[in-house]
Amino acid sequence: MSFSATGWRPRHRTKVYLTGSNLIISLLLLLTSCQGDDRTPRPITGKRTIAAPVHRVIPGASHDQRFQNFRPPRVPVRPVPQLGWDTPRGWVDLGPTTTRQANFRPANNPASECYLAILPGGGGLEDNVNRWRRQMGKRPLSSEEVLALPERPLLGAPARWIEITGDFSGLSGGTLPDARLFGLILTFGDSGLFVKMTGPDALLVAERERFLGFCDSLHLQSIPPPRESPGGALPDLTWTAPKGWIVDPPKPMRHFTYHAGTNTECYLSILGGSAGGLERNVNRWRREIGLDPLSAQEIAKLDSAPMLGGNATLIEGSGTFQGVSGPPRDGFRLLGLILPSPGRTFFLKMVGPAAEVETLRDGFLFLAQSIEIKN
Amino acid sequence: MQKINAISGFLIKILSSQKLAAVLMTLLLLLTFLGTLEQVDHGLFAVQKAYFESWFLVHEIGPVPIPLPGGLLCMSLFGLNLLVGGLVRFRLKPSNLGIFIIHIGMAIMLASGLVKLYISDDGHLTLFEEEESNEFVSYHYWELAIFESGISGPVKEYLIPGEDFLHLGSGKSRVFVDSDLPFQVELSNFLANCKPRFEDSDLQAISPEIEGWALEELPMEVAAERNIAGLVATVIETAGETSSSGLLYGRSDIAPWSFQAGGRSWALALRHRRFSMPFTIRLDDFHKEDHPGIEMARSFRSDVTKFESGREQKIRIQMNEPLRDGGLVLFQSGWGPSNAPPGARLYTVLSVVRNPSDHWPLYSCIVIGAGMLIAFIQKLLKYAQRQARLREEGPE
Repeated sequence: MSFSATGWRPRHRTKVYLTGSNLIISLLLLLTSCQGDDRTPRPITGKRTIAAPVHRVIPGASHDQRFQNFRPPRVPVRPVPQLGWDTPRGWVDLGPTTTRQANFRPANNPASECYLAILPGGGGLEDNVNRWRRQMGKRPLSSEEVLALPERPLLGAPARWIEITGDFSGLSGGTLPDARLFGLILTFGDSGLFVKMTGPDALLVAERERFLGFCDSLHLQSIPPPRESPGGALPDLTWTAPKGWIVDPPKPMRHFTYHAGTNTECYLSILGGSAGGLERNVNRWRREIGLDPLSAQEIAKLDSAPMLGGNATLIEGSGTFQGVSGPPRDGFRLLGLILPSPGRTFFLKMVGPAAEVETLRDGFLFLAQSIEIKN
Repeated sequence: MQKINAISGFLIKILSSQKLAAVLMTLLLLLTFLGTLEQVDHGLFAVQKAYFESWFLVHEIGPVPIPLPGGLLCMSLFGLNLLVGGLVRFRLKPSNLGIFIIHIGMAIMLASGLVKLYISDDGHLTLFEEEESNEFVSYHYWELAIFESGISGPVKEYLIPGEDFLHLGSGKSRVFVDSDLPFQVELSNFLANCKPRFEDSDLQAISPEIEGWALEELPMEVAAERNIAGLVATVIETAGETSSSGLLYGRSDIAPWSFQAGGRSWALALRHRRFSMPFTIRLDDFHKEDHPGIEMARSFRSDVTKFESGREQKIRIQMNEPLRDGGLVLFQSGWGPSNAPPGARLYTVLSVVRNPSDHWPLYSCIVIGAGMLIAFIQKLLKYAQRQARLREEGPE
């Protein structure tokens, strides 16, 4: 039994021709059937009857009851810097809310919104830029693209400027078509300062200068002392800085900051609870200096150094340093100590040019050893 | 007409070509190599979908995207090549018997892959001692179950398969209806891996906020079975047009979202797909033996009772001794909780596979082996005959 390639003839002659227009229409139909909302109700075809229910239903349970295990733990309240500003003319000041220092209704237009928020542990720059982009229906940016966003000063520090046009979908679930978003994000540590304005495109174009004026008017008023919280107040510390180190002005989320050498910075942060755990924080710092993450077993074998009466895990590495803000810096070295303790975690970190950090290493360890809790 | 004949002739020539077979086998080798490397970063399930169960894919080497045919396309073409090549080129005669049998074996191998892809199910059956079940649960596939709650006796479940809502990401929604239900269900905001988050800030969640809760998107896990999906369901009563919304989260210990409609209580549960078995399994005893001095299991086994049609059967399932029945295979695959202290109550994890082509690869190998043996013997005999003939003819 055989056929030759040239001798074969179809038994049925079907007059179906695949023309260019047929192909395009078919493709369009296929694409439109796959994308966007499908408003045509779809029948439920899968059905079965079982002898007894599979799930334990709590009749009338609220979301709080169902998700109670996901309630955030009560952690010490970290101090949030108090800011001052000038409210632009025509904007309605709606006052602060739980997580926002200020809320405004620009041009008294209900479709527009502007807020200022400082959030400890509010996520990194990339996460928040891309969250805003998703709200505007845009694709997420890569890390490189996020770092290429333009800078604009905010509180004297370089913040990232975000401007997006599209259809805005906020948390309320509604969609505002032809919208625009202005945003400035200033990250420090794991915290961030966010200024965001959304509303109709034409309105934001008209209000651009007022928004920028508002951002420029922001200024630091004070950093309040730590508040009492269910997790306990932050400890009162003493320490001795190595000779020649220069203390920096207070910075949000840092207990102290020093400058040493020409371009080396050393600071102490204290975060509530496990602050994400030792492994996550060790690997976060390792990633910042371009090192591969370690497993829990490998971390357990890392060197330690004395700090606050305990043995803090020592993290060190050299490479290209990429913090949460600022450009990548080649030839840098990171020295860090992490000490988990009941109710809080201590982070002492030094970053600077590799050779400089190496000469400052003894001073770093001396500083760590000198830190004590009063009484 | 002539043109059509020319085209069909050309297509048949291509499809029956041995060069095509060589190219496809090379591509399959390449896909296996690249897919194995990709598993490191993306896990087995995702790579299997992207590289071997796809028509096309784009493999990225650094910043360079390389389009490649998927495993499904390669294997489909390979099957077609085998069929058309056989019809066009092959002439069945005794001297070709071995080659013919080898090709039959290859066809069985390809068919087993096709059956496995489209007909098989797999999952797990997890039981504590004294627990029983007649269902197994998928590791990866989701479904939404709608059922009336607070009733005694049999429960009717209305099931929406995951394929119908997996694509309903941000901004997309779809409505589902059934004439028996006094409401419509609109599904939206599907997230493949997420967790509920109480909205003390708006900085991470991307789903609508309901009663102060929203779903926070998480990066996908390399081990796909560790991803927990979530979505938003809105129930619109057919009479009265009132609606309410709830967050659904696919972790088994989270209670389903319950609501009232048509004067009755209902519940919606997002869960891994459940498959019925033709029998019920009860775990009577789970036994784990550790290596001396350490908490690492040396062996573990499950003593179960199988109930089917009023009959009971005691069975031991352990390593390399699965239970095979009703088209299902139940393997001993794990236990837990992994951090249980000594003496704690443990559960057994039995992997369950329903694959009609379970043994086909073995049959395929036997057939191919037999075909090769016949082909080699035929070649050997032919060679021996030629040598004998040469000896008889003597030197020239």
